[in-house]
This record gives sequence, structure tokens and C-alpha cells, in this order.
Amino acid sequence: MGADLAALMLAAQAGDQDSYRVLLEELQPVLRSYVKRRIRDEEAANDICQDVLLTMHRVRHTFEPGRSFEPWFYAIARSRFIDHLRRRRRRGDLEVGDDAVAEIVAEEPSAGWGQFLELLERLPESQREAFSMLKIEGLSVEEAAERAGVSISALKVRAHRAYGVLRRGLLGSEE
Amino acid sequence: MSDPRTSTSGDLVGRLVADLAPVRPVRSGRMVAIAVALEIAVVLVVAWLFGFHMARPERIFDPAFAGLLGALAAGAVASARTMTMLSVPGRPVSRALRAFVLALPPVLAVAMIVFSPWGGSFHGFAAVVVEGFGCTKNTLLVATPAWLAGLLFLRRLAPLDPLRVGLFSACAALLAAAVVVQMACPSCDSWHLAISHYVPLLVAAWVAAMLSPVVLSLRAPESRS
Repeated sequence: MGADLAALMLAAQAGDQDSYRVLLEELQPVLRSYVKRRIRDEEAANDICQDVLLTMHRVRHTFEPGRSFEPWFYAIARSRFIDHLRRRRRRGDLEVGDDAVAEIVAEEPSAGWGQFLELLERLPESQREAFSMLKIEGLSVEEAAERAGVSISALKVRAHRAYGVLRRGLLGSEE
Repeated sequence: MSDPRTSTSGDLVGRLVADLAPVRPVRSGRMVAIAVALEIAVVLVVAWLFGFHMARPERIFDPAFAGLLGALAAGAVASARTMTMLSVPGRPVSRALRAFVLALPPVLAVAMIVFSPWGGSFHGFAAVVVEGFGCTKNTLLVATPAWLAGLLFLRRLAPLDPLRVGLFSACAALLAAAVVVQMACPSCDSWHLAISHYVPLLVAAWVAAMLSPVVLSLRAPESRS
């Protein structure tokens, strides 16, 4: 996510349609990648992506100025994803191959996700961006470095720092 | 807005952009303050409407009694904060805060039976339940409007996990109601307090949580500026 998504969202909240269009267009591939990494069914993935964008549109007033965009957005995406899985589970048509899904549902009641979001939000912008591109969007290091406009080694340093902060934050709290 | 779900992703973006209207961004701190004030106001108004008065006001100077009221009030505030933060995507709520709220009723019930400074007489579970039914009923009576008011307020935010939001909304209302009923009830019998005041909080909270998604699914008004 190259653009300043928080700034675009704030402009959208003020009614700026151009900013909103840019924001949605920036988010679509990211969201698609996020969902496709977790579910194989193409049609279901499309449904979830649409549902996430619709929900984001409906609750856009809950994005707070001064906060990071990513935790807000991924909280919505994750929630819609889980809702979709619950519906499919109730219908009994969850694919055997959707193992990541079960993992996500299983982890839902834990506080780990909330803590993760909190840690993610506290990361410096450059580190959060590096983490998001590599671990959420699933970009290669080369692609991420190109998008961030930095060298590969610089991006690796940012990502490693982010991993370190997240690891210490998550593991430290369990000790 | 027509149903964009039927459209392709390109159309969807176009439709969402066309539907864009300015909104006033929420401030979670302010929302928490409003939620707490709302719970307190509704509980006090309902208690006033039903004519509740403080029984044996001298108890307020008893540190144990004041401590009980303080714990219940702190639980109500913590729960109101939790339900609000759970309704703002990406705003995590600490595990300790959630555990405090959910553990408070059973912990108070056990503490009452084991450590109560006022003593108590146990003559059968059913007898205690029947004798204390008035207090249980009053708690539910006072809490129900506050719970519903809390949910209606939260519909303006984004309660994406309605079950959990409903659970903490119910806890906030029930704990606030428990403060009022505790003050209005003249009894400090440990078994009465445990079984008729505190245990029902937990049961009612889970029942209310199950019902909450229905209330939250009602369409909320748009928050336009």
C-alpha cells in the first residue's frame, strides 16, 4: 500500500470522492491478496472482498483521525472473513483445503489478534508498511522494496525490526 | 443506494464513490464517555421511575459495603469501555480488562460467601432464590433498558462482533443496575447477595449476549455530518 491510506480515508470522510476512489483502488488488490491467501474458492473470495468494501463504506465514520489505517481495515476484513466462514460452516460446505480458515476461526476468541493490532499500530510507518506488504499482501521482497522506493536491504531491515517488535510484544506478554 | 453486491468490483468502486457522503469521524474516547454516561443515566432514571430508595444509608460508611459498590461500579465502567472499543474496528481491548468484567460477578459471589463481614444464613438454595427473587427481578428490570440503550448507541459505531459487544453491553447494564439494587436492598446476608444479586448477573449477561445480534442487526442511522 503505497499511498497514505489514512490521509485518503480522512479526505473520504470529508466527502472527497476522488480520494475515496484512489483509496478503494489501492485497497482492492491488497484485499484480494489477503483473501485469496486464505480461501481457494474464487467466487467466495469475490463475495468476501465485496462484503469488506461495503462494510468499510458503511462504517467509514469509525476510522479515527490520527490512527493508522491498516489495523482498522484489517479488523474489518477479518471480521467479514470470519462471518463468511461461519455461514459456510453452518451450511456445511467449507472446503477441506481451507485449512488456514479453520486456523483463523480457532484463534478468534483469543486476545492475540487484538494485541497484534495494537502492536502493529505502534510500529513506525515504514516498518508497518514493510510488514504489511510482505506478510499481509504477500509481495516479494523485491516488489515491496520497489513499491516503498527503497533498496532491498533497507526493506529487509525495516521488516526485521517490525518482526522483532511484534515477536517481543507477543511472546513477551505470554511469559 | 442500489445493491452493489450484484456488481463487478469495478462497478462496486464506482457505486461506493457515487454514494459517498461526508461523515463525522468518531472519537473513541468521547464515545466511551457517552456510553458510560448513558448507562448511568438510564439506570438512574429507571430506578427513580420504580421508586428505589437507598436502604440503611449508614452502610455507605462501611468500607466493605463501599468497596462492593466500588467494584460493581468499576466493572460497569470497564464493561462500557470494552463494549465501545469493541465497536470501533482495530481498537483492541486488553485481555485483563475483559477478564476483570467477566470474572467480577462470580468472584464477588464467592468472596461474599467465603469472606463476608456480615455473615449469612443458608437454608437451602431454592429458599434463597425464592426469598431473593425480588432483588433479582429488580436488577433485570433496571438493567434491561440500559442494555437496550447501550446496544442502540453502539449501532452507530461498528459492532462487527455482535455477540461479544452484546455480552459487554449486558455486563455494563447489569453491573450498573447491581449498584442501584445493592443500595436499595436492606439485606447484607452473604448468601442472599451471592445468589440473588451476583450469580444472576452472569447468567443474564450470557442470555442478553445471545439476543444482542438481533438488536444490533437493526439498521443504524447513518452518521453524516
